[in-house]
Amino acid sequence: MSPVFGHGRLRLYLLKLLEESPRHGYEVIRLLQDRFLGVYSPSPGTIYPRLARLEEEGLVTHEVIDGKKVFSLTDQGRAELNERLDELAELEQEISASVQDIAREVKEDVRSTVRSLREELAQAAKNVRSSGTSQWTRWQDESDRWSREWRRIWTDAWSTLGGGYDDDAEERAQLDADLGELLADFVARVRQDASAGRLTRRSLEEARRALDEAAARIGDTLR
Amino acid sequence: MEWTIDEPGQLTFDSVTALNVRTVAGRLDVLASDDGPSVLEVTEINSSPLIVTHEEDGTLTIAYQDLTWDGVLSWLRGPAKRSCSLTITVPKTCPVNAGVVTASAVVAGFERRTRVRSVSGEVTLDGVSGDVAAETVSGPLESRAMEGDLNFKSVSGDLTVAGGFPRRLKATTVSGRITADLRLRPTGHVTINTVSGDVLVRLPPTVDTDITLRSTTGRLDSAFDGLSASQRPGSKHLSGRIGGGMAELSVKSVSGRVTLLKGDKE
Repeated sequence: MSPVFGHGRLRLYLLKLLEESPRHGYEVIRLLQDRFLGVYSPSPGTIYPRLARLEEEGLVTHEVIDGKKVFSLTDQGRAELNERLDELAELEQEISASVQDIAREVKEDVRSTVRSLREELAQAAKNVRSSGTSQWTRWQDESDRWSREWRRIWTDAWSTLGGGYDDDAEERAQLDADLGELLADFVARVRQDASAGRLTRRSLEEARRALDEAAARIGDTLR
Repeated sequence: MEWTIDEPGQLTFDSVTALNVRTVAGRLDVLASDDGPSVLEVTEINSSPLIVTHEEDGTLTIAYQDLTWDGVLSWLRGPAKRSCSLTITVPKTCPVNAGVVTASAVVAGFERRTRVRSVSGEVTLDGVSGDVAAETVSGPLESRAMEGDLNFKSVSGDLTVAGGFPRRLKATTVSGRITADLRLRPTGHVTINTVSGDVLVRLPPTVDTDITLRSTTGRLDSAFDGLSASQRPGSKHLSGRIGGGMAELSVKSVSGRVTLLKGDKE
């Protein structure tokens, strides 16, 4: 996933982590994740075979404590690490420099995950809908419930748009919320009227004028 | 300590205990580190300078002088287009408070309290746990591997949650689409409210949860059997218990379509 570990680099970094202290395999995984801000997440399937190979080569040994393997560096492992200290310093530096790239990768990665998820679920939803169970498509009469739902969601959205995050502006925030509710009620009422009444191009134009007028008057009042 | 930044460069801080950052256009990347110094890297900046303050209590604030939290919409009225690209690395235990107008924001790895606000900028959250609040007007939020609490509000911004394992997930939107692929904890709580946005939720096949889907005029569909349907004037429900219950999923819409999907495997 991350380009940070080029050829032979993961091996070097594993040696470094085990030189610091003997560690469980999962601890090694966690430290790698942390070092890369959770962006590079090596799987146990990557790390355990690596540790086993290092052990075969005699660079690492393990003892079992409380039923878990604790790995530590052998003298031979320490020797290889010491030989490659320059390379390690370089690697550390690249890791820092790569933080920016990591941010870029996170974004690309999340975006592609999210995009394919959306497509997958949208397709699955189509299948479920066409299978024909539990469908309703008929429009319902407007009801009190509709206005209640609408009011609640709108009020939430209204406060999100407004801000009013200051602690000292509590009264203002309350008044702001009240205004939001007035508007929600207004929309609910017009919704009812529009459903019940006749909507034509002409009545729409008339409605627009009335709204402009109302907005101007409200604007004046609030100024 | 205070700095004025008007050209690309890097600042390093000893101990940062909280981060506030507000920008307009460009990019904002906020990454969590396990320890070590905190770093602000400015790779691009045009026109007006950024003010950086590091207070004695460890709070780090990065913002344009006249950008305050009062009313994100007022940011749109700001002078000339201000743009910058920032990469900020601070400890993962820092509370983060980030705001953007049109800038795209990436926030990764934090585990305490994270708050993100955006007008139209895309927000990407990766591996953020703890308590997260995100508010957008039209900006989409894309989240991967979230745990803990997420409270999302938008007007028209979409929410997509990939690989979510929430303790509480609450999403409220007027017209944003909500897409969520979730596993539920035994005490997990998911609440989604929408006016006209469509809602797609996928749960594992062996989930244990109570489910209530409700809509005034939108269509309701479920890939899980065993939910009972009822219809009353003005609203219809699909509800019931899948598996042992305990967790809770509730979706309410006015006209948005609500579809509950079943995953293939755990």
